[in-house]
Amino acid sequence: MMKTLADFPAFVLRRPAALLGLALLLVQAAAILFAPLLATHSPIEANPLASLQPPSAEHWLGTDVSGMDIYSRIIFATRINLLISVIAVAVAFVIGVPVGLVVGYRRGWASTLVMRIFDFIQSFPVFVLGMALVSVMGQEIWNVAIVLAILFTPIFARLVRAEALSLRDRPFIAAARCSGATDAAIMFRHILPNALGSSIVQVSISIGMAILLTAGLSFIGAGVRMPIPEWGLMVSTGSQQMILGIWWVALFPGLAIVFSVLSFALMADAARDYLDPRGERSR
Amino acid sequence: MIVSNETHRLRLSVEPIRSEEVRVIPETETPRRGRGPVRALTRRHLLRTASACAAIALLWQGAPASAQAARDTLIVAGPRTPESLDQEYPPTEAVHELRRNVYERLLAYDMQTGEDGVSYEDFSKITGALAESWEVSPDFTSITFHLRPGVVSATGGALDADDVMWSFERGWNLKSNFHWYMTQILNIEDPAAAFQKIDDMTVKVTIPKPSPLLEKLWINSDLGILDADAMKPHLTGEDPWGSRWLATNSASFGPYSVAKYTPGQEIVYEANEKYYRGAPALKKVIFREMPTTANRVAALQAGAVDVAEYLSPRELAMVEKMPGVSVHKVFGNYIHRVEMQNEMKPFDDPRVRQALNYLVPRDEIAQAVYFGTARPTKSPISEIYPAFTDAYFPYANDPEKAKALLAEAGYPDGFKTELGYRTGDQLEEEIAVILKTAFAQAGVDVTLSKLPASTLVERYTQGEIPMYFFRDMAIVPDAAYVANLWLNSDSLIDYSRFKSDEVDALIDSALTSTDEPKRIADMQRVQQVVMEQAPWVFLFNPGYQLATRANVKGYSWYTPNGNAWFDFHKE
Repeated sequence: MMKTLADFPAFVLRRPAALLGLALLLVQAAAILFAPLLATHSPIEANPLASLQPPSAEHWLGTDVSGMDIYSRIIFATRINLLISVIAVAVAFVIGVPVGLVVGYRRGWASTLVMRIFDFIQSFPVFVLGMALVSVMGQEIWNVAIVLAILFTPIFARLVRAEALSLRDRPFIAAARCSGATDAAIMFRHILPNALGSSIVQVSISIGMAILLTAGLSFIGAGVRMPIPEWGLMVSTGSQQMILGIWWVALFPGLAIVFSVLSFALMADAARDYLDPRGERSR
Repeated sequence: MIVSNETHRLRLSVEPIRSEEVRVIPETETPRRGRGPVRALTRRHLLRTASACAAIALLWQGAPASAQAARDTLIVAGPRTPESLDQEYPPTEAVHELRRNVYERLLAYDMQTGEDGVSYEDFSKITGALAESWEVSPDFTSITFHLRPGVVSATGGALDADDVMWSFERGWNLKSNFHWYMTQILNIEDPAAAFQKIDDMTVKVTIPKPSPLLEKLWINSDLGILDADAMKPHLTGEDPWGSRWLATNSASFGPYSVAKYTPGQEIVYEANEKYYRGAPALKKVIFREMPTTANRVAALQAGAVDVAEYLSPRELAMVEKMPGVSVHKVFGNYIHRVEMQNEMKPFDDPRVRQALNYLVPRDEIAQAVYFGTARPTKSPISEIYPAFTDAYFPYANDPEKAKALLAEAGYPDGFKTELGYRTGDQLEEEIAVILKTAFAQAGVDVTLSKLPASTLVERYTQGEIPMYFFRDMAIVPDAAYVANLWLNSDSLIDYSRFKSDEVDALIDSALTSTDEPKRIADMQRVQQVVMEQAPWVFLFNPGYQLATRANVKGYSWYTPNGNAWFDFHKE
């Protein structure tokens, strides 16, 4: 029933959209690995005399109000943005999946309590909760990642719980129990592999969401600090110049967000289709 | 007081649209969508209706704001409406402007026209306002005001000594602005002995110690005189001073009264036709709250407003080039600086504070951030106030000297510190980023903290943040008054915790001495000490700029930076 992960690259290569997503991902990976080589200027050094210059040979994507090179900042920001997103989603996955599994498999007051806690977290508007947590914990990159992890954990837990709820009464679980398997073995050996598909898809979606949320939090002053290069913060400072006809400060980091989110969305699409037991979807 | 504010707000916000606002919708632009009999409600129909409604709504919003509006109506866009209409409310920029237009005070400065055509206060010449004449005792311990006969408030009440006495009594009992001036500046302890009604049109104020500010102080727009007769119907047992009513209403002898006040949206001023200096040329001034500067620029450009307040230097540079728009620039009295917490390591060492001052690239900031509208601060005293001197300012941009000073102070490799600025203050963020790079030249690693205004204020009042941006102005044009606010270690707003025994003594003596030449000499010595001690990173005096449509004339500038609409007219 399960397709192996080894088939996935071949699956991606057959689909143009997935291929585009992959290419964009590779570009980001290159930016992360080779940022100091790719950047033409320091990403955090102000040069007031070169403030707000339009794109030119010297500054490929222009400069911002402080005279910092936008191209170099976008390259370096890839590190910060993806670091935050990947860590946040990884933490949420590692915590959310087992919790969802246990809560879905075992019923009882403890499970209900855990779900109510998740309800509580999810009942807050994302930004309000993000702002509150960041203002309590301090405006550090790690804290932004932690905030996002807190926001995402219930999502993974719910997905796995829903799967576990439907799987726990299936005949093959009863068979496993009859053959003497312990609860832990049933949960992790029998239910988990079957319940994981939707969570894996959610990983890519969440990374995209995390980029947007980091950008949003920085936009309202609850994300990373100036002058750390971060896409959302760059859009936020650049948006104020838009009315003056200075478009490049906000546009390019905005495009970086678009492409990054797009790459993860396309990969999520591919993963969903790949894991869909009813076969590939055609559009 | 807050509760009452809310209830009034609710009441005001449901008021119907005023008839004159509806009248100005051009007929040609009324949506013409209704065709024939009523048809079945389709989705398209709904959409059309919705867009027609939206168009009407837009017109209603936009139409009264049109600069084509009558020549006696002025529409102003500013960052916020005043927080309260009561003059005992803590002063903010919006509140200062309200006071300038609504409250009338006892004395004023004579006005003079500068070379730039702007009228300014002449700080050397005091003239009567509500007091037609006045006498100061030779020892500067009492002042007698003879009230101007025939002065009438916006509601028609005539001015007499009872209005003045009641205003004093109210101010004293509310223990806010008036009380602060009387106790802190004039050293009054017993109000019964200090405030005296001589006859129906004469009031005398007696103070325990001589004060050189005995006359000047009464020019402040926070010391307005209320129409006691208009206030009395609104006094209750729980609210004996009518604070609840005055928070959302006006009752003074100024050129305008407030006809409509919707906090967060707009405030409408209506001319007091019986104003003692003559009926204002602008019969109605509508102030609209537009928090985003870009929106104010757009509204001014489109002609939807006549005046746009507080634009950023970059926007002003652009607006200046637009046809049909004028930008008025004055020297102003703001001081924008980074304060260091002088008691906190490493800023307890003056050499460290001096070093940071040597690291500031002032020319670059002036050009890149202020677009030439600001001047470097070379003294803690505003340049336009008497006793100002920039002779003691040594801080050129000299990283080598800064490094040497830091090494001398024991920080050859610099140190780590934090600089706070307000969320939403683009200008401060821009300067902060430049300072971070500049300070890094000497190894000073600055973490920039963007904080909500309330958090930032809390942290610096508690002395918990090593460096923070601070922008303020002192409205009394007197060096000792200014120094007393920011540099006297007893002052509540000496947030940088600067302490110099010599400066304290010089200020204290200048606040009671009436020997003007000595006061000026002492204040120049204060400026010298402060420059040497460098309690702040001296940055800029940003000036004050106002953008208007070109047909708006009569711009004038007063020390609280609020615009006096009485002086304006439209051509």
